[in-house]
Amino acid sequence: MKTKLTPCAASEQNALRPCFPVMPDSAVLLVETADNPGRPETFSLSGGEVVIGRRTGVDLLLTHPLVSRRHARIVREEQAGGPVFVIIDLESSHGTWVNDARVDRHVLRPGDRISLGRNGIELRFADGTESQTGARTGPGLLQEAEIERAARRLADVLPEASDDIHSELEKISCLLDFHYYFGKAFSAEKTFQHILKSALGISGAERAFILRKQQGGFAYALGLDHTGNLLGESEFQTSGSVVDRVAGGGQPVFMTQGIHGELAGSESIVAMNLRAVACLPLEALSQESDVAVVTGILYLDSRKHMHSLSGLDEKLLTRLAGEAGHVLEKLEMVVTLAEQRRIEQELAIAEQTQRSLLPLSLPQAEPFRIRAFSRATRQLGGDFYDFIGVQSGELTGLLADVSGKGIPAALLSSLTLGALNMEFRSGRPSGEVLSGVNKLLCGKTPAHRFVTLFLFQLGADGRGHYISAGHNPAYLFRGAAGHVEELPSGSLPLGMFPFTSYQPTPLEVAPGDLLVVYSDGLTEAENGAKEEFGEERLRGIICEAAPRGAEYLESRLLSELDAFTQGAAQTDDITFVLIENRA
Amino acid sequence: MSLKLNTRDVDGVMVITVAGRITLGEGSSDIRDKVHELAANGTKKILLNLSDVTYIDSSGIGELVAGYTTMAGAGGTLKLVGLTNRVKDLLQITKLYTVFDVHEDEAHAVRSF
Repeated sequence: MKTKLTPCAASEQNALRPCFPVMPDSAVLLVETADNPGRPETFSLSGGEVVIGRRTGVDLLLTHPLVSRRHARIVREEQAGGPVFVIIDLESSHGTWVNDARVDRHVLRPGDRISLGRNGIELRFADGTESQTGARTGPGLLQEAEIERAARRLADVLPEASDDIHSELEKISCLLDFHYYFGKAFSAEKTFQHILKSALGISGAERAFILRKQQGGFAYALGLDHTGNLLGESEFQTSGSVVDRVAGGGQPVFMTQGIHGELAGSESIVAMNLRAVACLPLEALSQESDVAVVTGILYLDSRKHMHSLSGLDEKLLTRLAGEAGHVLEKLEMVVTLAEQRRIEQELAIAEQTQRSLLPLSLPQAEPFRIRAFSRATRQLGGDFYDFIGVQSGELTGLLADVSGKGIPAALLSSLTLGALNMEFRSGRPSGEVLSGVNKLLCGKTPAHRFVTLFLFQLGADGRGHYISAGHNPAYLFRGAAGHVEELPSGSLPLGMFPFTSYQPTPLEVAPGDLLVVYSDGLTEAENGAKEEFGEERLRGIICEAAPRGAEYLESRLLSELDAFTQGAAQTDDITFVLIENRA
Repeated sequence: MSLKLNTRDVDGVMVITVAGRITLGEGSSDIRDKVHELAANGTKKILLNLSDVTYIDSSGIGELVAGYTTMAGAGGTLKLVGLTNRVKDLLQITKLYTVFDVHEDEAHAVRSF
């Protein structure tokens, strides 16, 4: 059975969570595994809630077959006698056990033994006084230079001092953890070099290669010879038959005293005149299942005999391969992270571009007081609003919601915004403007992509009209009567049918009235229990807050929304525009 | 995939029963693809039975419209039956009620073609 602690495999010098020195006055978990007998890792519970599991994203990652993806959580609760820590099982497959009794929920006392799965990985709950061994710095303080030094030391001490190889690779492993968590760039090549150097040192082989799993097989990642020279991909010749055997079976092949058996006749081995071959799988536990998968291969060969590898050395090499497998897995995460960061940067630029399409400032149009708010689900949104300057003192504003989310929605919203601005310049009535935009969108977009839009035009006397193209009803707060009226849609969304006509409906925003135009992301915002914010709630807030003006209503809407969602993930873009007649 | 489609022939009308959530990224384009495939095979009458649709968002509405325009473009007809309140509301808000031929029960809808 494979036990893996991440971040930071069982190294002497770190807490499990990077860079979190243990607070002496707080409770801790002591984690002891087969890798660190007698020297438990310390994990501080000072951070509040801690989720323990096997999947990335939890606070304490423990890779063990009996540990569920999200296994248990430990929370700090205030009780009459002072704060206590409570462990709660998260419907784990193999259960959470405290002092050999299965528990769903248990108030922890110092000395309690927590087992994830019966006889699985064991943690001990302790108060801070037991944590002296853990009150040190995390791997964040490890520097790359330290790896260099470690690798150099490796070369000096090999192959006798077996324990050191383990701990040096652990340091690399920790450094990768650090890079993963703190997003620093790290070179895969350097990591591979360290692994290869160690392997050459232990084995006395002439050449060493790392192959990484790619689509359709294993391909060259890096090669090194025993004098320290890099071997390029062109020099990459290995015995394919050996590699296939290891890749297929997941078992190492050691032939250090001459090639024998069926492989002796293998063409590649004969052609390369090889005397010795060692080939080991680099395995990592997959995130999705408990099965160890071969993610890479460490291949060593020699035209001479290698060191006569004793049973111990074989074990050493196997151990090295095991650690290298973990390192490889972490490297994957680091690379993924780097890729993510690149995409995020591009998105940030796109977001800026899109924001530049929105009005930089709200128009000053007496007697109206205008507020606008927009928050996209993802960086790029499908909602937008705009105020279009029209002569003769009229205020023209619009709010639109493009179907879909993210980049496709943002592209369509940019197209629509551009088309609207062009059409409005022609000076035609708004109904004709929308017909023109609709025709353009029908021609440019497939039928399932569309835009709902609410457009209003108001003169300084508060009179004007609106057109709702399939948009959810806007609300008009009547100051004099103190109630809310609904302004329903009169026509179909833009971009669906080319011959839709858009007819204006009269609208008057009288002194003391307040017009609320919004996207359904507001009313459909969900809380943790999947309940929607809802139209009733929105109308209630409007009735109560609108008499105190647009600014006050805006801040109330946002605070009520936050209070309702309680941080639950936003599922749709949220946008609203408020127009108050202050005359 | 949370969307399930089941197609059967009822007196010459292809009835597609849709079950699950019609929403962005959860197989919502399946409806569009299915209608497209049927239209390409010469089907002129399609009835979408939406009584087992648990949730629909605006992208889902877009899929219904795409199905409608595909059929209209191919000289056929697409009608709807079994609308849940959520779908009804959305069709009402977007005024699409005026576009779709909507029926209350399947037998009645099949006869209406």
